[in-house]
Amino acid sequence: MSVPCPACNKSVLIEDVVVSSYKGVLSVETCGKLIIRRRGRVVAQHRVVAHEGIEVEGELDCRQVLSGGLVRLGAKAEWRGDLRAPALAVAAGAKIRASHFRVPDDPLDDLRRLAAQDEPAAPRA
Amino acid sequence: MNEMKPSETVIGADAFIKGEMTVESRARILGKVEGTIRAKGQIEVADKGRCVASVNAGLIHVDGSIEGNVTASEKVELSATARVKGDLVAPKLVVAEGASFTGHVNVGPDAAKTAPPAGRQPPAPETPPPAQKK
Repeated sequence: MSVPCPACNKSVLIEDVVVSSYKGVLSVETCGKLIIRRRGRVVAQHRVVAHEGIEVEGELDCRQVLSGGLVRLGAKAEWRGDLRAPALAVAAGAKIRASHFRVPDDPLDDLRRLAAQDEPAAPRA
Repeated sequence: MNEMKPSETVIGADAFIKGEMTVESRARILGKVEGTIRAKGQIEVADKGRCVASVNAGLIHVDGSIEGNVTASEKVELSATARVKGDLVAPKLVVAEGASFTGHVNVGPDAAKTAPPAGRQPPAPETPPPAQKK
C-alpha cells in the first residue's frame, strides 16, 4: 500500500516489503520493514531505505542501506552493502562481504534534513 | 569472585599495558591495553576492559571496547555492551542487539582465508629497494 507524499506527491510505500524470490530493483524505500525470506534475494543498484528495520534470512546486495530500526541478519543471511542503522543483530553463520557498518546511527535524520532543504519555503503573509 | 581458568592470562582492571602482547592460550582483559594483542586461543575483553589495539586471535569475545582492527580465525562475538571501532575479519560473527560497531566488516569462510593465522605476526610489507643515485 502506498500514499502520495503531501509535499512532492511522490508515491510513498508504507507497508512492509516481503521478498521471497529474486528482486532486482533500483531502490527499495519503505516506511515499514524490509523482510527478505530465506529464498529471497534483493539486488538494489541505488539504495535501500527501511524506516522500521530490516530482517534478512536470504540475500541483500546493495551499495547503501539505511535503516530506522533494528537490522537482523539470520544464520543463512548474505549481506553486501554499507549499512547505517540504530541497532544490529547478527546470528552465527551470516556472511558479510566487504561492507562498511555504522551502528548505532540515525540515517533517517539525514534524510529528514535533506527533505527539509528540498521543501519550498512557505509563502510569507 | 571470577574463577581463573588454567593457563589463562588476566589483565587486571587497574592494569595498563602498552606494546605487543602475545598469549599462547587465552586471555581476559579487564584493564587497558594499547598496541597489539595476539592469541592462538580466546581473547575476552571484559565490560570495563578497553583495547586501543589490533586484536588477532582464534575467538574474540567483546563486552568492553576495542579501537583497532579485529581479526579472528574462528569467531567474533560482540555482546550488547560491546563497542568496536575498526575493521573486522572473521569466518563467523555474532552481534547482540545493542552493540556498537563502526568499520569495515568481512565475515564468512572466504574472509578467514585472507586473514593471517591467529597468534602469528602478519608478514611485514615489502619495502621497495632504495632508488640508486646516478
